[in-house]
Amino acid sequence: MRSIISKSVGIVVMAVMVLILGVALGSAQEIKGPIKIIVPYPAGGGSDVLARLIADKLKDSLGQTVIVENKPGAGGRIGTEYAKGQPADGSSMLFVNPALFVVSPMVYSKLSYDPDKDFKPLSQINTYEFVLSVPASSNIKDVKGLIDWMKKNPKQANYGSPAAGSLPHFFGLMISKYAGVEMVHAPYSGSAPLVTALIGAQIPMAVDVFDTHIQHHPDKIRILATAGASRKHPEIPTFKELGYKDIEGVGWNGIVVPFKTPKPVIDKLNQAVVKAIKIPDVTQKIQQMGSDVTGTTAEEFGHILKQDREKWGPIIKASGFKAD
Amino acid sequence: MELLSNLTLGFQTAISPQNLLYCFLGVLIGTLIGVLPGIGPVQTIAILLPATFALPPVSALIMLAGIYYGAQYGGSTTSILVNVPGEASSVVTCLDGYQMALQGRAGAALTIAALGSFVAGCFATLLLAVLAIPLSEVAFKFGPAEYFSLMVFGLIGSIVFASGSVIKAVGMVVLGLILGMVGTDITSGTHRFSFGIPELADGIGFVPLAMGLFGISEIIKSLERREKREILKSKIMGFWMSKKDIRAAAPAVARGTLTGSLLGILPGGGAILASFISYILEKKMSRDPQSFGKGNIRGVAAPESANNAASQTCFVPLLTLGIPSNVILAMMAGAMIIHGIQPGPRVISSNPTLFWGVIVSMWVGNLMLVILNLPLIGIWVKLLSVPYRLLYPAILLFCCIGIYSVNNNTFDIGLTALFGLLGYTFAKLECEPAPLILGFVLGPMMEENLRRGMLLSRGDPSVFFTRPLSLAFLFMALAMLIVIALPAIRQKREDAFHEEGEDG
Amino acid sequence: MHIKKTKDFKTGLIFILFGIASMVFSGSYQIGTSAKMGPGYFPFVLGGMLTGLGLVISLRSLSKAEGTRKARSFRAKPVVLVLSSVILFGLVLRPLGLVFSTVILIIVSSMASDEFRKKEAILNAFVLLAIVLIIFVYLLKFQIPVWPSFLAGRT
Repeated sequence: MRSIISKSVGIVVMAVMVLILGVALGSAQEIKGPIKIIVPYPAGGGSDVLARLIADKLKDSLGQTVIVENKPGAGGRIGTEYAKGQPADGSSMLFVNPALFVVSPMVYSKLSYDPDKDFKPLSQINTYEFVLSVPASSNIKDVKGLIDWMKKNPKQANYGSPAAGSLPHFFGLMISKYAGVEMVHAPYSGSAPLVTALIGAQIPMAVDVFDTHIQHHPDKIRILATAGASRKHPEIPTFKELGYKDIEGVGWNGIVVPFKTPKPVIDKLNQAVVKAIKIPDVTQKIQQMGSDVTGTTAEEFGHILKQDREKWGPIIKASGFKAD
Repeated sequence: MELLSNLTLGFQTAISPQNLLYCFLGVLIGTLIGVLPGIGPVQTIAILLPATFALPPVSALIMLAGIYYGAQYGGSTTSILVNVPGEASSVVTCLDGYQMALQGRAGAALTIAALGSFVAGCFATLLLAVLAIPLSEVAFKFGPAEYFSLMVFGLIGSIVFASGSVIKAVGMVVLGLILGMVGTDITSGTHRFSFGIPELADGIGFVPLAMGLFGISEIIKSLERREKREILKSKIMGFWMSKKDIRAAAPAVARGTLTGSLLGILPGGGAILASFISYILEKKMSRDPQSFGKGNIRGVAAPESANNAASQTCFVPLLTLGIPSNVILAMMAGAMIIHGIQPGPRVISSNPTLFWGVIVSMWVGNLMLVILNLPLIGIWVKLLSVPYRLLYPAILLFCCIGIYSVNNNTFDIGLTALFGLLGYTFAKLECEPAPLILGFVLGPMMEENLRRGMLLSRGDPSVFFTRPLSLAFLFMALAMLIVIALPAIRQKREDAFHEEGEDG
Repeated sequence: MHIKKTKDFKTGLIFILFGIASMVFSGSYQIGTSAKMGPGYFPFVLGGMLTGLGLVISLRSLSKAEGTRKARSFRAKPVVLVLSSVILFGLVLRPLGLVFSTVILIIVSSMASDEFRKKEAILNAFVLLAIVLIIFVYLLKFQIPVWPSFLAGRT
């Protein structure tokens, strides 16, 4: 009798435990929809297009509604601040880039978010390389020629970048340091006016991302070198192979989640995101934008963030650039 | 006759039943959001963009383009009827359009706005088809010096907007320039006058400013007049223009079209700049400048033609080079990318159906717009017989929703109220808001290019005088300054002042 | 008498106020040199110009006595009610959603009119609400909260 009771109690206890465990595990795995990807930029921009491509495929693999929510303003900082307060249960993700997670923490004395304390990395999506270009009408044919020309004409050694405080801005400073010429930085308000000015030879050279310039190479713009680890275009050398070993510059897009998001949820989302961007159709579209699909693990992405800060930190500090 | 075969290809694409449908849908939505104050193509295209991903790329672009230039058509309607610009580029239309409506000539004003837009649209489309590639070179000739000098010309011209005291108008321009400085400085990245408010980091939005200074302050002013708005109701007559109107308006349409077509090609400025500058030129060239601001039909015809022409030619850099010249076109570039078409110089050869289809669809769209809009004029004019006590809350509501949807933030709504108060105060003090708006639009571009020019020349200001195009703009600015400074003209302006404004 | 005078005088004062504010705040940004202008350069110069213009306008208004016209009478009701309806809409939109904020905006702003009728305003509010919901929420799918956030769960 007693044994039967104890047995049945035991079974009940076990059943309850299994149930609780099951629920606990289930709730860790199961993400309550709808899931939103917060894009801190306006709809229709580069980040938005990328996020929508991914959201579309995530729907299928997660079996949840995935929406893109645009929270533009203040160069992405408003949306980022908004995202940190969102539920940390896997239902909110944030689309980020080096401007928000590498540069801003170094150039703002008061930032409304902390990339390390408010967020956890989920995955890096893609990378895009920086380029150094001159107008096609220019006599300068290669990087060495450019450096020689700058040494002879130090008063004309100006370079344009798509924005003050952007990675291309600091990438230009990297080149300047390497060349030993003080290059004056002329920021533009985005790639479009920068490319126009470069084609019109209003500036002797520009630093920008690969895809905005390759469209015009070699008819209107001559790309002298790309800044990745290997060639992006068969005819355009990298800085590395030209012997400028330390000149490397790569931008990226990535996804982060609010800090308290549990590890199993991060893993699940990571798998889904990586799977989505590796779908041939998506990969192809991302490549058409001139960038390379990476799709890292959460740990790798965290490592990239750390590396980037170590790499750009000294350059940004040396530039004395302060945003506020 | 390569052009002919290209156009044939374009026609075949544009008049396929599906593309006709999307074109119509685009211009219809465009007209609608253009008419609603505060809601412009920026928000609408941003929101509808994802929906177009399912369409074939040509249809998607045809529809998005239709929304854009359709909004320029519709934008004038509320400017004319209730002095609330439906769209950024129809701010200038308020000046004479609303006066015409007060005189019972709302029908004529709306008609010329639609017809002028149509003529301008046709011409600009033709220009796009024939000269797109050579025209794309124009933007390359504009360095910082040229932009700066063009802005100087525009700013000096803005004084022309003053129907009252010139010195007050200058003050308003400078105040507009200062307001334009709010936000992140392009050259240094510093936040200026943002007082730690993140929403101000991108600067003051054009929509809150224009809606506050024009829309809200106008509503308050109207409510302050105790008598009902009977003037309007009793005088609504003659939807059509008189022969005299047509004779006056036709050359203005032609000039506006030319100005708009050229300014549209320049990145950044686009339709807003085009409408302002064409008004300035029109008033300056007129033998009877005092009649501007009091219901001169040319003051509606020129800017309305200009903004529509500009909204077509601004496609030149996007379609020929893949360089979007404003936010809306940047979104269309995004749409192309989503469809696997990289915007760039190769689009013409790799995707001729897209290139020519979109261009021809613009002409088709303009035709649809004029057919759609002319019968609507009767309805719009009837709208004036809706009691104002029901109308103005609706205007406020649309303004608020529109302003919110630009950035999805409520801060801008508060900002609009603030500018409403400022606009009302200025109205009381007889200071006109148009020069302020122009200063606000031109200021940031002027500063950016001045600083860039000085930076690139390492502090040598001679660049502004040695480059021929820049010098030409500065000469024009000087000439305008001399004309304005002539005391005789100032006298006239002060005479004009006496009759203005005190209608309550 | 001398209405124009005080009008110009007040205009001048407003300009001076804005001008000085611009100069003061610009002072906290880097001014730079003409070759390398800092963020404070342009607004500082503009602030100076506006202050100067304001001074001229104010002083001239004291010496000139022309232009005597009747001032429009100032009435607080439309100013206060119209502006507060807009501000209320902004404050209420996020927490309570479009439905409530629309009704509040329409009713408060309608009260600014001398011809205000309660029933009519309420009817107007609901008609406009329907139009707005159809156009912006249903057709254009604007990202805008419709219902109070505590009812709709997450925004």
